[in-house]
Amino acid sequence: MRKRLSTIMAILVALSMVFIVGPVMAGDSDTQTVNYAVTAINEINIDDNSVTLTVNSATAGSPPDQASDSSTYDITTNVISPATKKITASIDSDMPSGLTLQIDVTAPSTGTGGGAKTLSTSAQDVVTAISAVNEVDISIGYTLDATIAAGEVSDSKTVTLTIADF
Amino acid sequence: MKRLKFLLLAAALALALNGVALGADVSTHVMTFDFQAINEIEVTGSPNLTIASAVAGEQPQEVTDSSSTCAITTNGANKRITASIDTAMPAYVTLEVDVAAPSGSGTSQGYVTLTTSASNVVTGISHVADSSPTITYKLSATVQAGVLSTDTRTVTFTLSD
Repeated sequence: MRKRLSTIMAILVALSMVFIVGPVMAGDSDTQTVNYAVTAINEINIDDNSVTLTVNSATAGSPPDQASDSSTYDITTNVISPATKKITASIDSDMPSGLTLQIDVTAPSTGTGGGAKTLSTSAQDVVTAISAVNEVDISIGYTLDATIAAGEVSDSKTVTLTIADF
Repeated sequence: MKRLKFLLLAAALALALNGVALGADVSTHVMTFDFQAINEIEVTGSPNLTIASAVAGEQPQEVTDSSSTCAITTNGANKRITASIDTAMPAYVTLEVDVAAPSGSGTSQGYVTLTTSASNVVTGISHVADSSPTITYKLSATVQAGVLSTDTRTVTFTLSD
């Protein structure tokens, strides 16, 4: 009797099975962690590979006429006030005696230009107090002065502009 | 004897459950199927985005990360995936996400800027199971954003109507 009842129950369960694919809860949303950062960025680029300054004239009785040329530079920095940056300039070796090379770097919109500076092997501030900026084609002016004692000279110097902390 | 009893019992049950007259060679019963809504989404990956360079004169260069995927299963029609972040990004910093549509179903919205409000990233998804859709993140910043130490945002992806 017991076996018969067990058999009956088993068959009833098998034949009356209702198929249900139920709802799957708590799976329609998921999260993800994104890590991000922005590092210090300081980029400067002088647009012209070279400039040429030729002293080749004078007014009789006066020193040789000054020669000039110009170039441009581009700058990007993400420093934020109160921190600021500066641009320094130097040449790789001293000018010959009787020759003076000067540079006048225009500041970007967020800095202060230092005016004309005589270039030497020591880095000098040419622009100061620069804060976050990205600008292109900012003017650089060069002048070359020579005394008659300089004689005839043909040479080149490498000018280096550097973004540094101010 | 036992076997005979079993056979008789089975026959009796068949008759009782189906209400068919003795001697019928066809028997039926009702099978009820109920497939309910299935909407599953799972995101994998640990994206990292660091802006570290610029061309002089230009804004910092944006960066991307395509190392994440979005597995999805739905038996519904015209579903969408939305995305949001837990906290707004810092000023001058933009985080975007581009979620590829599952194979053969849905339309990716391309790069979508992430905010604290849920935005559609994929729409028109119907009856699909795909474990491979790529998630691409893009981070951009202007110089005004300054220098930012590593931080995190939690992105929530939701599959819905």
